[in-house]
Amino acid sequence: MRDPVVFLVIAYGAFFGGIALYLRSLVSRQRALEKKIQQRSNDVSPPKELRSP
Amino acid sequence: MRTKALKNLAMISAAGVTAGLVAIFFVVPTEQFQGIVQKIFYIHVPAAWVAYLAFAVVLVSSISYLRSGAERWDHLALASAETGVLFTGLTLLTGMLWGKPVWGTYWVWDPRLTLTLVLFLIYLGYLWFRAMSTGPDRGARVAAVIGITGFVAIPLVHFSVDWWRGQHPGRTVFRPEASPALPASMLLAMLWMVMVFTVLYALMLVLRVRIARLEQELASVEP
Repeated sequence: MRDPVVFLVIAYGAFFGGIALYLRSLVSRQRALEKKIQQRSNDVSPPKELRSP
Repeated sequence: MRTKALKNLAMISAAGVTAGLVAIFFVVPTEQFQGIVQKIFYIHVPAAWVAYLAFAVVLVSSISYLRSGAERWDHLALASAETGVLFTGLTLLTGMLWGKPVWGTYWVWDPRLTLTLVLFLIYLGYLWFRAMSTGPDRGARVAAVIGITGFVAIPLVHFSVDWWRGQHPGRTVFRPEASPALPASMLLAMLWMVMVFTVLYALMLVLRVRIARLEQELASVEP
């Protein structure tokens, strides 16, 4: 049987690795959505020169 | 919550995890019978407790959503369900990695393990349903019902070690008519990790709720 230390290292690595990946995915999802919303609102609003004074 | 407050929460979590790991590996003694692999307990048990908390938040916010119809409750329920699934998955994984060197197998169909798997699948189903749903409320009302009924699994998971004979160790902290079955240093390290993981859960929850709000905002500006 493998050394128990191997199981300990895998458990802690998978645990904190999983949490770090999830947090990273949350941050990048948030940034991507903010960017998309910004693009959409730029598309919707008319360019400055076409706006009435 | 402002970005600065979120950054502070992230820094508190990181400092808490670091302090906890130092205590677990350099201060708390190694358990006599299981040896070093017992140290998995300090992440396994707090993760399970945070999963309970996350699903309790799903229950309360789903009830509030059905009563008020306010979308903020639905966002909270969805965010908490996702975080709860993550922590339940990590509880199962760390339990399996403890089981192999101690029991000689990754998995046994013990009541606690089986019911935890059922709990994981219920809320995974909840997330799948949310992902598949279309329409104006994106399945929010049906999901709220799933979130409420799914909570029935929590007391079954928690008390399974008392109600049925199995291989999973019994309760070590809140034991009926007995003091905790742990030396003070082990108990303190475990409770510290419970606190730190709760802060981490709060951080994830705030971030995930923000995403739910942004998704809604995007849907409203979509042509």
